Amino acid sequence: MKRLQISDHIILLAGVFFMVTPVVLAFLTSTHDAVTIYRTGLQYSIGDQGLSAYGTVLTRAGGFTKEVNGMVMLKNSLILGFGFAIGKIVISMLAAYAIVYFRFPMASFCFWVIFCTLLLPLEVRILPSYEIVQKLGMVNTYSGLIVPLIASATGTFFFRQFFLSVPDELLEAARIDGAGPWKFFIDILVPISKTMIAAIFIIMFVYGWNQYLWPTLITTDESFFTLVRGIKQILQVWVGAQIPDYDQAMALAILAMLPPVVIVVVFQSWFIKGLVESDK
Amino acid sequence: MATITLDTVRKVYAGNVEAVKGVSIDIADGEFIVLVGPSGCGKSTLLRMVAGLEEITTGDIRIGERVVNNIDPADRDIAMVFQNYALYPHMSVYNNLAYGLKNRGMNKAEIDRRVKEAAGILEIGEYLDRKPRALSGGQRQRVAMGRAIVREPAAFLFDEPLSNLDAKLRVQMRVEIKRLQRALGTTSVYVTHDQLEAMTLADRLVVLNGGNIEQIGAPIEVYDNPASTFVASFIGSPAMNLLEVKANGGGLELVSGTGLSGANVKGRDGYTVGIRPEHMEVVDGAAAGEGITLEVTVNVLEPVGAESFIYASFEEGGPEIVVRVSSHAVHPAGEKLTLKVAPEHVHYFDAETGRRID
Repeated sequence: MKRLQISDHIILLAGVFFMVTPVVLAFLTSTHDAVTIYRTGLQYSIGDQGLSAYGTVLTRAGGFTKEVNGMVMLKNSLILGFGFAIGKIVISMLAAYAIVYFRFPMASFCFWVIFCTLLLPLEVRILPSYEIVQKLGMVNTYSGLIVPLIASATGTFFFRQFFLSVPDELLEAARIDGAGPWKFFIDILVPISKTMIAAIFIIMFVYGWNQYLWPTLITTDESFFTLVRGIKQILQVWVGAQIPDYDQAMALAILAMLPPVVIVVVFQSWFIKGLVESDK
Repeated sequence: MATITLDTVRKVYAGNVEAVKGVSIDIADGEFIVLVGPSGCGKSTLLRMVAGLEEITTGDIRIGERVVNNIDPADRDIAMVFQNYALYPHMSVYNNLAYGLKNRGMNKAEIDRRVKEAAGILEIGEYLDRKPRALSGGQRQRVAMGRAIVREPAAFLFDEPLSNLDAKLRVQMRVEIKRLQRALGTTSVYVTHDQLEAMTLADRLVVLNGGNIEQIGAPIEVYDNPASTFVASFIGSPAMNLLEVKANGGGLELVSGTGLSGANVKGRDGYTVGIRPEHMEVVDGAAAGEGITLEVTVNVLEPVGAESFIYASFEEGGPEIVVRVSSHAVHPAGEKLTLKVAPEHVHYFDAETGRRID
């Protein structure tokens, strides 16, 4: 038993090592200046410029047009993350509500059609999606960035399973209490789904935050750039003999990791509750 | 307050399953009606049709003078208490009670008055701020009843409201429901599979079997004069002893063998004789006289405190009967007993149809 526990810990520690080392390296490297990094590669100690790269990267206008700084990108990322997560939750809850509580022809067929869209990730349909968004004039807009992504088979599936586990008597009691479909949804179903909503919010926020391909395609205006794609932008600026700002790129990478980490850490108890517990 | 009338109500589910086969009941204003039967007898379906949660295939349901077949549950002026309480888990007790009233656009002061009043009646006043999960089963049941009371409806519908409670609480709540219904005088329809609950609560019982009404009547009437072998075996615990008999000269005897003799009782083939456990008397030797005499061997004696039950049979492996005796009677297994039943306590049923023969 004892030995088993030790080996458990060794496995876990190895996992932690693989997960955390790159982050630590990125952080340590970001405290050195660009020249040092360029000469000797990744750094394993704390450098002499401290956290100054973080200040620079957040406030100094960079990129090709010199119009975008870290703060703007952070804002864009937050808009994308929240819009993406909230949009997905609203759409998938309504879809699941329709599928579970309304008897309409081919309801389960509709559900499986939605489910099958899992087989068609963005990468597969990226050209037609881009074509539609571009024709609608939504290139370089927040709605163009968010709306095409918010349909969610995963979310619909999770909410469907949750709604199916809600006892029918609750609906019947509400019907006798004079609650129509809309009132039942808002007054009863949404409040009892809140741990589920929180869990899906976390997953979707992180997912939305880490979007790379779609923002890269749909935003050409630098003022719409998100953090995740902005990192590349810093390294791309080769002007004459200028050395790329590796320290700033590392700082930006660390910054880009922070909000999802904060969200997960803060909401983790909700997250586990939502996925495990059923309080009905 | 209102009468409820069911007029040849049928329910056919998809796949041509007929759950309720033309049931008619007239429920008087203020009456407490209990629908009782084994699971799958259609009692819950019937109740849900009255509530409007289930569509009526054919027939009419009237609450008061109004045909409610196509009226929304909320507009039928009924309130329902569910088996699993169906409280809104995220709302406080107060809001659980008030929700239906708010939806009807009642003003706040009136809602508050009614909620406080119902809470007073049910003694849940101190829990009004709690969430349902912080309440015990009995308290939740009270809240569920409170939600029905505040509506001041024309009728209460109870769908096995006590089955989730433990035995002691069930008895306590049973008494309380009866007291409450008497006090409010609201017409009530109560569904249960528990014959004891049915007997104790009902003004009139409706015994259902396979989607048909077997018998309607006051509990004691149903108990004394069961209309069929089904009712006889369902109402009463332990159940009535049912024995198949055939004619034997002027009297009768068991189809399966000897051990039963009848004098001055009707004798005919194709009878089932029904005898309640409490109507058999242990007598000394072969006491002659009117009625039925049974010769049995004791298998088991089961003392339950206030009384004891003897399980006995006429012959090894033959049909077993239950006899109620006084609590301190001593009858070891293997003892041979002679039992006597007075003629007025013998019930006769047609062995084919199971219907009562008078």
